[in-house]
Amino acid sequence: MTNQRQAAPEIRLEGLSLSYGGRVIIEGLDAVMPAGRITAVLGGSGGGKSTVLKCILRLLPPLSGRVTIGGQDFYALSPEAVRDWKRDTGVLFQDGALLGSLTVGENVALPLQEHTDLPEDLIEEVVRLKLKLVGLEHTLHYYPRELSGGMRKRAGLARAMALDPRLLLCDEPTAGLDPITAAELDRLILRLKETFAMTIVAVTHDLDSLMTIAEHVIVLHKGRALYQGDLEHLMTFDDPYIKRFLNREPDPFDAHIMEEDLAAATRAGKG
Amino acid sequence: MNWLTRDFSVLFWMITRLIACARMGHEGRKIFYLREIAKAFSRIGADAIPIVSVIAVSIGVILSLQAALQLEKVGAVSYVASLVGVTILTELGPLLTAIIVTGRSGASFAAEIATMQIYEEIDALEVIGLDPVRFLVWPKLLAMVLMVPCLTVLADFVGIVSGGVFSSVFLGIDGRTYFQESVNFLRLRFFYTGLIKSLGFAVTITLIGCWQGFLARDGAVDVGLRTTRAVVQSIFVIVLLDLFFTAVNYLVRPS
Repeated sequence: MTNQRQAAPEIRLEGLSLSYGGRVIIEGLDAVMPAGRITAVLGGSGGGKSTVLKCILRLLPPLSGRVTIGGQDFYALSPEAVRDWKRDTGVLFQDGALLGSLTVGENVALPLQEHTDLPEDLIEEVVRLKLKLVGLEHTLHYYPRELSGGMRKRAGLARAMALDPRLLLCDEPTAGLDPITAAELDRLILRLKETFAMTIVAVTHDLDSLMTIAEHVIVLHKGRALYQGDLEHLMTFDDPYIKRFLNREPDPFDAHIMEEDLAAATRAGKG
Repeated sequence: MNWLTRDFSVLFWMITRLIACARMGHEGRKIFYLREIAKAFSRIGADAIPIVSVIAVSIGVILSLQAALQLEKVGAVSYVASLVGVTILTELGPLLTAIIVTGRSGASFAAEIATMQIYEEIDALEVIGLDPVRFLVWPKLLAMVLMVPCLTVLADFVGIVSGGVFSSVFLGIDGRTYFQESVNFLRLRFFYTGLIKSLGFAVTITLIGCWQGFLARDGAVDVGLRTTRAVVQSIFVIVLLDLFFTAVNYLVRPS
């Protein structure tokens, strides 16, 4: 299917420093998330991936540096421009972040009610279409608590897609899912990107997901970007942390400490 | 002091957003989700009617008993009606209703918003472009401002009537005399005083409950902590407000 519309412009992080809970998590990060491609922000737990995503979502202002979208400073936009940006952006949160007091259908309808003047019957039609897109048309009247983890994420994706955004941001889309459901969600993200010509940024530490969806990769470690570029080059990139990460090998120092702790705990247990 | 600055900046943020929402209303933009308002009305008002009624009956009876015990010593049992009426209309009606609403609704506001905060639902609202204060706080505030005075009127009525019924059945005070005493002694001013208090209490309970909810950060433990704080702080501020209203009422009383 050919699509005439343009994906969201590239996102640039320029000398970005971020703190969370009084601790500096990201320091002087420079990165580019190209337009019309799927960028995977990869890294271990506590590496600052979700913090960067929060900053791109305007939920966490930077300590220093800036985020630009299509060359415009994201944190200096006018309220109208922010509203347009929100209308043009879909977000899939880690656990779906569906509002527990609303049904799945009402959750998906929220962005439409807020940003459009569509009548209620048309909104319901659009909601049914979006739920069908993610294979959940039968859950229209279900509450989020009645869904499995994978279904909640897909419902969250339907809500993110409600306004046909040009930018889709995903926070750990496959975390906590079984391999089959995770692979289904990855395929769904790829299909959405091809169908709707979107720029997608996915924060992940799932290597299988990375191999399936990523076109551009940013590897974060200890608040800095160790690598930025294509997925193919990442495989041959010469960095000890990246090699260990891709080969799923623990840090030798951490592994040594863990072995010592385990031995001490075993001795204490026997004593 | 950092936490104090952060806590009060959240309160300031919430109040400024409430004012901004009111301005949006003036500009003719949508500020309410009717579904949320209907839910708030039902939970805050209709669901509280049984407990408010039961407590009001108990208070009416307790006050009648206590008043009769003291007044019969000086042969003034007929004043039971006026004592019960004034105390319920000006003090106990609004105060007890506010305390019940704090325990039911204030705690639930804090727990609901705190849980939403922890499960990123507040972030989701922000990202959708839907102001969390407009979506969550406005409907609650509107429902509280309308329903708490209604519940107070109910508590006043039930308390006074139950006091009268108890007095006539068990204390030997003639029902007609009790009614006549109430009509002769009670003034509309007492009723308004209680209503004005209940409005102040409604705003207090909503703001503190929602504020504590927005402050939650650290998982399930914080939800419990914020809920407890919402209840304790609300009751504390309600009692201070009551003191203030009563003092003002005393100072501006007609001579």
